Amino acid sequence: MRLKFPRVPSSFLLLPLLTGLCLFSWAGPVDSKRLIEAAKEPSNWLIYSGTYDAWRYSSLEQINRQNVKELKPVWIFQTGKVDGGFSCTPLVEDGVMFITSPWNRVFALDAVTGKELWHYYYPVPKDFGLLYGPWNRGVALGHGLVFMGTLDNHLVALDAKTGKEVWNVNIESHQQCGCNITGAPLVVKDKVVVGVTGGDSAHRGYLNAFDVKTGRRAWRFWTIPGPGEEGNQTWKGDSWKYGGGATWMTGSYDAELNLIYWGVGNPAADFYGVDRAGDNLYTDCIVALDADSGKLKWYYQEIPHDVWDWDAAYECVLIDLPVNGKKRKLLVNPNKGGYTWVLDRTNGEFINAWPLVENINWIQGIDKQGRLLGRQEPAVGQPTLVCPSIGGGRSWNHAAYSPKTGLFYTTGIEWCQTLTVQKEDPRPGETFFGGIFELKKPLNGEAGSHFDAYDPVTGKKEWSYKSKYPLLASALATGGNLVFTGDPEGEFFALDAVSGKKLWSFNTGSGHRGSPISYAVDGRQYIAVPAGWGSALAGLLPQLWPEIEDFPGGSALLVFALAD
Amino acid sequence: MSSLLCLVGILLVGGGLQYPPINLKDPTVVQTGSTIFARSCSVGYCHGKEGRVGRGPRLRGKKWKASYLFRVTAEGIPSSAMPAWTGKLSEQEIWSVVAYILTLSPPNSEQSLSSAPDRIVGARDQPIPLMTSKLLPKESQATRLGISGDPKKGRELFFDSSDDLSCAICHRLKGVGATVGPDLSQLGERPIKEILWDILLPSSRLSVGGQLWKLTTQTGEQIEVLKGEQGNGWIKVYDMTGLPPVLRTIEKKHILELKPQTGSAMPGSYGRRYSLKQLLDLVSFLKSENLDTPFPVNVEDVLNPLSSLKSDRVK
Repeated sequence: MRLKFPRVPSSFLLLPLLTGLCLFSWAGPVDSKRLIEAAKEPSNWLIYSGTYDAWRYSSLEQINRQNVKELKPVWIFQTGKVDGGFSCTPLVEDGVMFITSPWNRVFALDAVTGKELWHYYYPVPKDFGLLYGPWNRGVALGHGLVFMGTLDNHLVALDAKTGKEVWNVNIESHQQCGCNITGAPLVVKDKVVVGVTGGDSAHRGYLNAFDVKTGRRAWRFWTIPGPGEEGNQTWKGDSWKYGGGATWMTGSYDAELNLIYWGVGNPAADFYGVDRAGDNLYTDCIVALDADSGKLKWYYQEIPHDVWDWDAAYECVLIDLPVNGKKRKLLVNPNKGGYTWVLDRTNGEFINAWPLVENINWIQGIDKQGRLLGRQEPAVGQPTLVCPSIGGGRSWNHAAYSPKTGLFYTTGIEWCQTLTVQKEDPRPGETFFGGIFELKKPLNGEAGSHFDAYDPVTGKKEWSYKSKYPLLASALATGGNLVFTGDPEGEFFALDAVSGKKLWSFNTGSGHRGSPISYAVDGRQYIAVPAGWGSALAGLLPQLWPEIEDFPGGSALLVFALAD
Repeated sequence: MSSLLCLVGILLVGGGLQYPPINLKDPTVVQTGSTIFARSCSVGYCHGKEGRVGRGPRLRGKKWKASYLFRVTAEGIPSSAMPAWTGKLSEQEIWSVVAYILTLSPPNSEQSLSSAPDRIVGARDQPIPLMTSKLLPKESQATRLGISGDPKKGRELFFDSSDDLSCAICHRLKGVGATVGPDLSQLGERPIKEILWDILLPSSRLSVGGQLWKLTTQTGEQIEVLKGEQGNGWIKVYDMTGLPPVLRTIEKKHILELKPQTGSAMPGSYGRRYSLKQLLDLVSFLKSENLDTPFPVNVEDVLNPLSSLKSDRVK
């Protein structure tokens, strides 16, 4: 690592120089302490969600509401892999940026110039029918290593300095399970935790933790309990064997409680629930696991016996806030069905659930105990209008929380679908949807999208930014009181975090499906964002907006800063 | 005239042109295709209901060549999300899907070779079953005798993801599983006794690749490994100390010692872990995979003094 010195006038050199040597000398490898205290080094973005509490917040304030209009691109890196869209969250450690493109390519870049330091192309097998898509949401950093989950369900560890493979473990034959990894792993202490896809396949989901140094599996948590295990009785007959329950996104960690929180996806078959009568634990649950043993400490099931494909797999945002005058340790989880759940993260107690879209017809509401009211289950064999659509009231693209404004920023999509449920038997390792769908406009109004600021506990909306097309990129909140996100036409923009007013935008040339971050090197703040249209949803949107079929793909990592 | 058409057809097939063995305009065929399409193609994010756009390209409203549709469906597209459907669907089923897709387009789209005969002698029209309910006569005799292996149960054992010692943790069969140990796709060709022997007594017939080594690093880490690829200054090894095995890349200069161990990396515990029934299930599965039809192995086959490690006694 290079020593970096702060820029100070020479007359003040001596004392600040000594201070600078302490502050800016090589901080050592990314160990457990640095990860837990990641918020203390805002010049870096060490974890997928920014910090273990998943705020996606950078406290850097050099770029603010007054000067953001001067923000200009400073470099662009093109990965060359456009198929599937650019879905990663870049990580930055001490001036080195780590990104992944579709097809499991990892790049280490100089974060100041964008020049490539090394790349690693994982040897993805060519001759198989790829499950889900070729995209990848990013790596995890820790202990001198870079960790990535692969399209054939492997986890690899690379040397962070050279990109050379250090270890590689086949978690389960992807052909056998119909599952693989598209999400970013999470390093927690001496282990790296990784989820799995497969919620739409005849597969039994899990979450795995591996020793960071040796790759040996430390623990496995089955999201579907096996025979004799508590919760197995919530599955009719043998349906637990193919229950889905994918952990396809990235979880969070509370170091004080030593709990890992992970969202679990839908039960399989997504829509056909007759053969899996029962609550179907732990699908559509938030699970809290002991970080060392992987043992389940508590769970909360948002949607028992889900027949709409409403994953609880998205981010778990950990915030300490007053509820009825008393400070509580909360977990905020936007669910695909259009509601955001608020739980007590010490014990899973239900606090509140609030809608983040208007078009919801699969329930009437949620009562004060968290019970779903007025369930509208689609009948087998006939088309039913379900709102929101399979794309979700919100897709996986992440929310951000700003401790400065106290607001929770998230996108929402207004749309519906006609769903025809079909009886389907599980074929191990094959898709297991149990129905087909077609996107439809809402009953009243146009299909569209919005990016909103909410009170995270009550769901009271502070402001709303409207968008013609569904917003499918994550949010970034900064200490300069800005929120950033991008749209399907390629516009990357900044809104005033307090008022929602649009303050800046830049046409990046291809639609957004990834996550922006902020970092700093040598005292200069940067905003980085992947731009490149593609993804499962990108493929579906033309059913409502035919022009989107011709939107160009891309794979460019853009970095912006103020003039030097 | 028909024999001339047959000849032409055979020549065309011989020339590599895919020839539909069924009438692509037959409404029954189209209906079959529509059902398969709804079940297999429009699922999830792929080709959308009735060929609407999805993650996969829009299929409706486009001009298609039947032969192209067949080839892409049967063979898939490497390095893409489009799988090969050969093996999952029979040739006839794939043609029926082609017939359906052609109806999604305007009438003047090409439906090539429609003036040609409906059937070609020798065209395969039987589905390739992975597992069918057709039983061989000896199954019922074996069942009467008490213990007969069930290939379906054997498959479950082979691919049991909840068992860290299941076969697929190390072995591959027909492209599914891991590449730590040998590929077992052809294992079913071997005599029943030999297969059972290899499962129960893995250390007795060790292959070079199966040699276990004890690797000690300069920092004192000791692991039991299978050797893999080597390169300039490095070696890849499978760390067999825990499961699943981990492929480690170790720089040769970090290795203090590499000592061969007696015994195979494959555990010798299957005789304890599996019941006799389960062992028969497993062997039945392995035999059936190789023959492409169910081959239940019963305890008679194993105990029969006329069968050996070299050959099954053919009944």
